Amino acid sequence: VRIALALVLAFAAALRWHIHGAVLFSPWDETWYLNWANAVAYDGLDGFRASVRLWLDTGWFVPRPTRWGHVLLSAGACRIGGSCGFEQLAALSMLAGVAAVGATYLLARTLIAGPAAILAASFTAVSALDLGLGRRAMQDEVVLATALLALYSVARLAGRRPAWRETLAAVAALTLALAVKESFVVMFPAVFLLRWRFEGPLRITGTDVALLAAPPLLYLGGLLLLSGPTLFADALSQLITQTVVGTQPGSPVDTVQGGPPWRLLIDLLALNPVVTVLAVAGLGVLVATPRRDGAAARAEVKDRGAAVLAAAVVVSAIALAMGTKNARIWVTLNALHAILAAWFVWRSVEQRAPAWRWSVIAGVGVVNALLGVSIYQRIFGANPGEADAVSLTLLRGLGMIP
Amino acid sequence: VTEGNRGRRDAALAALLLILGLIGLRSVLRSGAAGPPPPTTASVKSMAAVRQSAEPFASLARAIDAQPASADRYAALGAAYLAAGRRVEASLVLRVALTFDPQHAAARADYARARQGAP
Repeated sequence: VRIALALVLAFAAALRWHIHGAVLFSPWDETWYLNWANAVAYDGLDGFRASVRLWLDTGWFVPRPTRWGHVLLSAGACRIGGSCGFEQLAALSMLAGVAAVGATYLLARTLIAGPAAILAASFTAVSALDLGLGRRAMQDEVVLATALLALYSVARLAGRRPAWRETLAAVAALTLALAVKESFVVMFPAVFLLRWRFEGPLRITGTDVALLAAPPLLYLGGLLLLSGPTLFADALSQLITQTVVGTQPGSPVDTVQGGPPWRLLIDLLALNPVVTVLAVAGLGVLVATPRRDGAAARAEVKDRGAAVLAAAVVVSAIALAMGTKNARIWVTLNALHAILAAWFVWRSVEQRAPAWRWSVIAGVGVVNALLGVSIYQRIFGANPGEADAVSLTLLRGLGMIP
Repeated sequence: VTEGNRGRRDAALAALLLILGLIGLRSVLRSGAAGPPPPTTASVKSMAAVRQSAEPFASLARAIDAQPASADRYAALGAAYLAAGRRVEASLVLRVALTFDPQHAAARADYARARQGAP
C-alpha cells in the first residue's frame, strides 16, 4: 500500500508540475488575493489592516481579506519565493493540490479499506477540477487541502477518548480550515458525524464541545488580533452579512453562481463522470441495504465508515446547496465523492479472486485517469484564461453546446 | 415507539427546522439587500467615524460595481485613497487598475507615489 501511495503522490506531483504555468491570471479574484498577500508580505500588520479597511469601504467587489489563514499562507509563499507575484500563489495552489491527494488517502484510510483509500487518492490526483484550479492563484486548492486535513484530524478520533494532544491537533486543523475559508463552517455537521460515527447512543463530551466550539472562537480571535478591536466589529458584521447572503444580489457573480441545487450534479457529472456515477451508486447501495437490528447491527461495522461518509456528503451537500452553485466552491465535496466511489468499487470486488479484484481496481483507476486528464485539457488546458468552472464553460469545453 | 426512535425523530425534526430557518434567514437578508445601495453593511456599522470616513470611497466603489473592468474607475478610487493619505489602500487599488491597463498613465504615477517609502 505504501508503494502504491508513493506512486500516486509522485504521479499527482508530476502531473501538476507538468501543467504548471502557461496561465493568464485574472484581474478579478486572483489579483485581489495577490494584493492581500503583497500587503502582508511587505507591510505586515499595517498591510492586513489596510486590506480589511479597503474591504469594509468597498463592499462586494473585493474578496474577503478576513480569510487570514490563506492571506498568511500566501504571504509566506511570497516570502519563501523571494518575490510576490501570481506565480508564487500558483505554486502554493500546486503544493496544496498534492497535499490534498495525501489528505484524501488519510481520510479514506480511516473510513474504508486501505486499498480503496489508494483508489480514492488516485481519483483526487486526476480530478479535472483540481488540476484546473491547482495551476491558478486561487484559494480553492488550499481550501481543499486544509478541509480534508481537518476532517481527517477529527475522523481519526472517532469511537475513543483521544489524548489532549490529538484533540489540540484537531482543533488547530479545524481552525486553519476556517481561517482559509470561513464557509468551512457549513461542514461542521459533517465534522460532528465523523466524530460520532454512529457508534453507540449520542453523547456530547468535553472533546466534542472543544472540537465544535473552539475553532470558530479561535478563528475570530485570530481576526481580532490581526485587525485590531476598532476594525473587528465592523469586519465581523460585514462577514456575517456576506456569508449569509452569499453573493451580491443581481451582480454578474450572482448570475453565474445561481440555479437549482441539482445544477451541481450536472456540473460534477461533466467534470468527473466516473467518480460521480460511482459515488451515486455507492450512496444507493448504502440506502438500499436493509438495516440490521440489535447485536447484528453492532457486529456489522464493516460499512459503517462509508455510511458515515455518505451521511457527511448528504448534510454537506444540503448546506452547500443553500449557497453558490459553482463546482469550484464544492471542491471538498468532490473529494468526498472520490472516497465514496472508491468504497463502492472495493465493496463490489472484495469477495472476488485477487487477480480479478486488482484488475478491476486498476482498470477503473486507469480509465478515470485518462478521462480526467482529457477533460482537464478540453476545459482548462485549452483555455489558459479559464479561472472558473461554471456550467457554460464546462458544457462548451466538452462540446456539448455550440 | 422506542426511546431511541423518538430521540432520532426529534433530532431529524430539529435538523429540518434548522435548515428551514436558515433558508428563511437567507431569503430575508437577500431581499433586503436587493435594492441600491448594495449591502456594504453600512447600516450595521457600529462606529460613526469609520462610517463617515468610508463614504467617499464607498461611492467610488459603487461606480466600480457598475463598470467592473474599468481601469479609470480603479484609478479614481486609488487617487482618492492617496489624497486621503492611505498609501497602502491606494497601492492595492492602483495595482488592480494597472492589471486592467498596464499603460494607464495616472495609475502608474499614483502607484509610484503610493509605494514611495514602502519597504
